[in-house]
Amino acid sequence: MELIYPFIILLILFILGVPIAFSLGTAGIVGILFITGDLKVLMSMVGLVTFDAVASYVLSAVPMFILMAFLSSSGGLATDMYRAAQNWTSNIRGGVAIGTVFACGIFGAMSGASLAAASVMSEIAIPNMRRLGYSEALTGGVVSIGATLDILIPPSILFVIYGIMTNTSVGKLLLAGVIPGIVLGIFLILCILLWVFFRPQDAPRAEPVSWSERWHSSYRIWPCILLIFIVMGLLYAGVATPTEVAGLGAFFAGLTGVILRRLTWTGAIQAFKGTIRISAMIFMVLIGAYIFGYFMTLSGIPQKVITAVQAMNLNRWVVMIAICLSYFIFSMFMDELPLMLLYLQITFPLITQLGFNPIWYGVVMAIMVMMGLVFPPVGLIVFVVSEAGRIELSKVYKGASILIIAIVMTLVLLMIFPEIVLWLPSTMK
Amino acid sequence: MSRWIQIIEKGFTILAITSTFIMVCLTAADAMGRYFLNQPISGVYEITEKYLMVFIVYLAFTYAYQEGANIRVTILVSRLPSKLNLVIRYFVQAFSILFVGLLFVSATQINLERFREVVDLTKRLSLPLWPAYLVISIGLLFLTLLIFFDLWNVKKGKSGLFKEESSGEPVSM
Repeated sequence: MELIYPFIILLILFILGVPIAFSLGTAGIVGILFITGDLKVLMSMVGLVTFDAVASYVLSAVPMFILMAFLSSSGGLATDMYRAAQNWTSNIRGGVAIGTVFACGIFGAMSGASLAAASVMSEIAIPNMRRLGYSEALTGGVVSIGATLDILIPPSILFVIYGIMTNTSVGKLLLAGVIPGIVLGIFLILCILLWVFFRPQDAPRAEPVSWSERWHSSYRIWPCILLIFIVMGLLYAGVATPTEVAGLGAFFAGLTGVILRRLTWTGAIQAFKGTIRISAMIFMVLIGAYIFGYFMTLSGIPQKVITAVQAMNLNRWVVMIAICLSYFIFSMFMDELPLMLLYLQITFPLITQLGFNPIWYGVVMAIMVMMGLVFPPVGLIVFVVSEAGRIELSKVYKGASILIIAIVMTLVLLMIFPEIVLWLPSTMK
Repeated sequence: MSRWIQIIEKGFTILAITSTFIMVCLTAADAMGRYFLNQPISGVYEITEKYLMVFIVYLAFTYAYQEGANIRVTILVSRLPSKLNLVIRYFVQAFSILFVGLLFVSATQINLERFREVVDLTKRLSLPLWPAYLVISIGLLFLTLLIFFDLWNVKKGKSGLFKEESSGEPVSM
């Protein structure tokens, strides 16, 4: 019964607005103290966490993937990509919106940070779509949902953290997101086509671009192709570890910017500052989650959950749907990273016990995170798009709430056909 | 005092940025050396894991704090009357001092016990781990002090804990 107290404390601290990292850590400390009753043991555990949660070679991919995203956007690669994608889709109604989805997908293959993608794409795509007369709901919705592609398409920081927390192969997880990412992109394009079919006034036809202009803009995106080749090719071939891929990706993103003379000194410093700021924030949450994780392990709560669920004799898909629904509800009130870390500690042992593949669950978890990032009231991507694109928040939510159907359809498809997730990692060398 | 804090924070930020730069260059050079020249750089794994990661994270804590990079659930407190909200902010600030202070004490205790530990880079070369442990303690101590001195900024709305509250700090995933 006393095991419930840490959870009550966690809830109270969340409600009071204590930083989530500190709330998780405090709840964990109280829980460990309840179980061991020994202050010395507690201090040793907490002390060890400060080093163990950070000193990890695999986790060093996180700051390097973040840096890669910042350097790619500072070097102007995203602008080139957007222009090329827009030119190739200029002859169809809604083509600029579809081009934005392509650009988001390709940018996703060069960065692992969906909020960076949302910010960059808002600044590039929204003024152009506004100039062409696209409705604000469609514009905001397309950029918001398009930016979430970053989470699925490698490199993805979420998969690195998931892999570390669950002892799952990070390389396989990163590759597992490729096909679901493409499927989501296709669904999103279909949704846009349907939208403009029923409401053509939301997406006026743009002036078609000449073929020479299309080829010319495509020629400028060779650095993007090189970066994607480095990330995807090395990962798939098993030639480099995810950390090495992150290092090479960040290095080449910077080098390309310098060679093309697009990366300024100020831009580079800003990229590094952004990287250390976001990394510090992520690792503070990880330290809190590690302390809470110690408590969970000592308490045996995951095993108790497994026993309780098995006693109910439920179909495993009922359990899975219940997990997804409850996650979706909690994500309305809480940020995605801490929620994922908290959820994993409770659900992951249960999921594996029920026979679900950990890699498949990682991708499902990523899709749940994506939904949380664009759904009210705490849809962080929507906040970023609204702020960076200067679109009213309610209009961005309106667009995202319609286009979120694409994410839901992808989730359903992955549940029916898990092979969509598992095939590519199974062919990995 | 605030001038000294700014100077130390700037120094920490420069060191964290330099560590990030070194980590990227070392990792890339190691990977290229291994696959193109069959000549990896010895010790990159250990240096990245035991030193650079610790330097980047713990030296960046103060910068991240000052920039308002704290994830909080604000959906409920933001709806409270301003006086009650201020009381809660003071509580959150004081609570944060206690938590980070506890991290500092526990980390320093355990690090003092492990002060003589070394990491083997090659069969012949070992490096002491104390610089990494020292950076953890220094980073946490400075963060504790920073949050403490910010107690006087809570009322002015300038505390690092409550910056960027309205938009929500992006978790980069």
